[in-house]
Amino acid sequence: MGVWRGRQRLDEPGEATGRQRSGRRRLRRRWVLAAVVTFVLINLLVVDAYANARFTPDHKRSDGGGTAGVPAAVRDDGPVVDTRDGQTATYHLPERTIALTFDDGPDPVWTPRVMQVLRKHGVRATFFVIGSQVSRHPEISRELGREGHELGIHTFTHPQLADLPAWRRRIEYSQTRAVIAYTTGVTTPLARLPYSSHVSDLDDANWPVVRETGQWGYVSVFNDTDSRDWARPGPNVIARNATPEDGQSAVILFHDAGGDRAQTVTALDLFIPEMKRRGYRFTTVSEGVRQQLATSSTETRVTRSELVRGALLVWAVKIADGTFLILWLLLIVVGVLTLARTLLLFGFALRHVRRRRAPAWSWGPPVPDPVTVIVPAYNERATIAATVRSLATGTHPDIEVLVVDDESDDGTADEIERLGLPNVRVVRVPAGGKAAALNVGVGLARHDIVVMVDADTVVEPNAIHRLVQPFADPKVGAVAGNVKVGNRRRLLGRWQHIEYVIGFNLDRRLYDTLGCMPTVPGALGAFRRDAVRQVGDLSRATLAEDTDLTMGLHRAGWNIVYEESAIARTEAPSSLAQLWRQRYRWSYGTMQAMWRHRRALIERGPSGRFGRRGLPFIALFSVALPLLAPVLDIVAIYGVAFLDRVETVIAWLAVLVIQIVTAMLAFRLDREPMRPLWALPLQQIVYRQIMYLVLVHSVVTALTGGQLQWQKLRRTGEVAAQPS
Amino acid sequence: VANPTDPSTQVLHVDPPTAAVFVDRSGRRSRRLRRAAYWLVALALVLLALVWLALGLDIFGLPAAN
Repeated sequence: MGVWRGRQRLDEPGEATGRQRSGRRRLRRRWVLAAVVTFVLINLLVVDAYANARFTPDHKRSDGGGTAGVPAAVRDDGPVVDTRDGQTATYHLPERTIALTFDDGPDPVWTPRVMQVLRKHGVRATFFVIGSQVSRHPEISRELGREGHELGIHTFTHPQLADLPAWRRRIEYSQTRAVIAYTTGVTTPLARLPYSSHVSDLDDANWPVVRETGQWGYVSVFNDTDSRDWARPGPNVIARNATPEDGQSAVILFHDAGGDRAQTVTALDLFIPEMKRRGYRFTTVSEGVRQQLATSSTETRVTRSELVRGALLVWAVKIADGTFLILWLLLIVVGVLTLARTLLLFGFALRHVRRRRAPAWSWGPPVPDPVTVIVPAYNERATIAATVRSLATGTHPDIEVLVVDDESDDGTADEIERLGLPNVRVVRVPAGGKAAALNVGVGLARHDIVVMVDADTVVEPNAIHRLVQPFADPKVGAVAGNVKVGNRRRLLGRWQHIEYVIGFNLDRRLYDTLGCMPTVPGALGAFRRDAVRQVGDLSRATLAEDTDLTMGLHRAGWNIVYEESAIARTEAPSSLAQLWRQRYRWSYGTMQAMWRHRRALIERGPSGRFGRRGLPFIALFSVALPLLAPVLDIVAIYGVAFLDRVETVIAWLAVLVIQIVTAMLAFRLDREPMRPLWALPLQQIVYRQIMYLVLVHSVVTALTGGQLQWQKLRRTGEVAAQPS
Repeated sequence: VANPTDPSTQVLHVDPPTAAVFVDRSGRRSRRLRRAAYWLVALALVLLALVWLALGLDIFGLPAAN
């Protein structure tokens, strides 16, 4: 298990330093890139939250207080209030004139239908649009402009303006103006405050906002009659609400967005001909007051900077919305996959247990055949004695232990020789890596059944005997044992223990039932020597030689099974850095093995059966699902920051409950005490994130064609020191 | 004195029959992907900077309606 590349061991000082430096540089670049991508994503989500009014939800309304501060001349006069140039003037439309106004659009469904009715009756109207909606549907805004309708500002996100600081009010106007300018090429200074109605409803909280609106060059537009179409009282009532008193002019409020506006559309179709019959003419707000506003033009020139800002805003909102939509879709995919996996695990694992624990269950006649146990070792002095002793003193009738020492320099071989066990052989080979060491072991094995065991793993006395019993079935080519984490006193060990128990007791039972076991673990696995030879021994083409070999055996038509009663304890990484290295190699190696055996997807026979059943399953649940897992955390953080916090926390807890129930089932099936499960909620906060970051890292390495080397893990000897 | 090595007992080094999966020893794939990633990220950063700049202009140096 040396750190090697090709024929060269990389732990020689001079060689290692140069490579390590370049590796560190590459790693640093990747972290910087990941940080920048995260930064961009955060920005997009912030833009999305802003464009969807999630900073200041538009349903938050404050009490405006009294009306003493609002001039009586304003409260009792016309709906168009001009406070520009420090003056205050109010205007009515001319008699028998109606200006239809529509708030909250554009809406992709209702605005075109409203336009259709207006077109049918030859009427032009004023649409007070929301900037974020214009950004989402610029084509509708363009269409409004083309058909001669007028656009006014109804802010960018429809907040209660009086509750906002002045700078926020300012950008609500200027941004909406910019997107209107970009999408239609024209603009007017007309603005309508969200939640405004008749001027008589103006209160002390909103009057300063109206004056400020004028200071910024905008004319505030209120209404004479409110159709109250938002309440959906029926088309006739809407038309009646909108109808001005006989002969009087009216700026009338309708809505073309914010819900089902079918009644509004029907009401317009009744209202317009009826008003025309009564001698009313229809106009836009600007045209209606043009004569009176002669001193200050209602039309303004579009500047280039406004066009650029408008374009940036439109695209920022579109990209932010798109990003959020993708995240949302991915969240659904993750949810469906998680649920499907849980149901499959429960269904198949329980079936597997029922079958295996049935009184009539047997692999066939007992298998007392002699076994060679191969232990590849590189600098394993801390653990090797315990491993070899546990193997050599097992209850199986004839065990030969063959330790292949991969050029250790810490006295590993001496440690074994010191044991003086008669059925133990040590072979010293030049450094070549684990796969090469195992191949030497397979070549020198004296028996037809070989068991491969890691040098940091201690087996139970009957483990080897139990492990080889499935060979009673001549179709079985390999058997996976049940590996547990031995060093689980610390939190990291406990997390890995939970993961191992779930992996071995649910995942492996599922794979066993489906006949597509992806890996016979290197820590404890038994093979027919002929089967290993048949698939060309262990390959160095991947870093997960055990997965690669298992897939090869599947393709050669051998059955691979799981024997849960063959139990071994292994030493799991004891630091985050070690864990990262181990999982990085595992996930990279698994992807390598899948890619190497990809032809199984299109082949016939057992290879095709494994390829079409096993590979997609492994790709979906072992690669795609963990790769998409970050979506859960991103949406959870977004939800807590901008959505309903209670709902978000409930959703997150629901996922946790699914995991706890899954873990409890696995622990119960494995007859393990439940106590370590208290660490499971904490696992969601550090461990899970490390796992998916490792996978992302492996995917990047695979895409870029980088070469990953075997990394030697530091052994503490904790498992070896435990009483057997 | 070091023992002379009998050439017939020297270790034979045989290259693996299958090349390591995914590995691109030329580094070309990595370079191309790195460049593409840098360009994309730079473009995203420039666009973001422009959006925030436009926002800043709105807040601090707002162009009036007229």
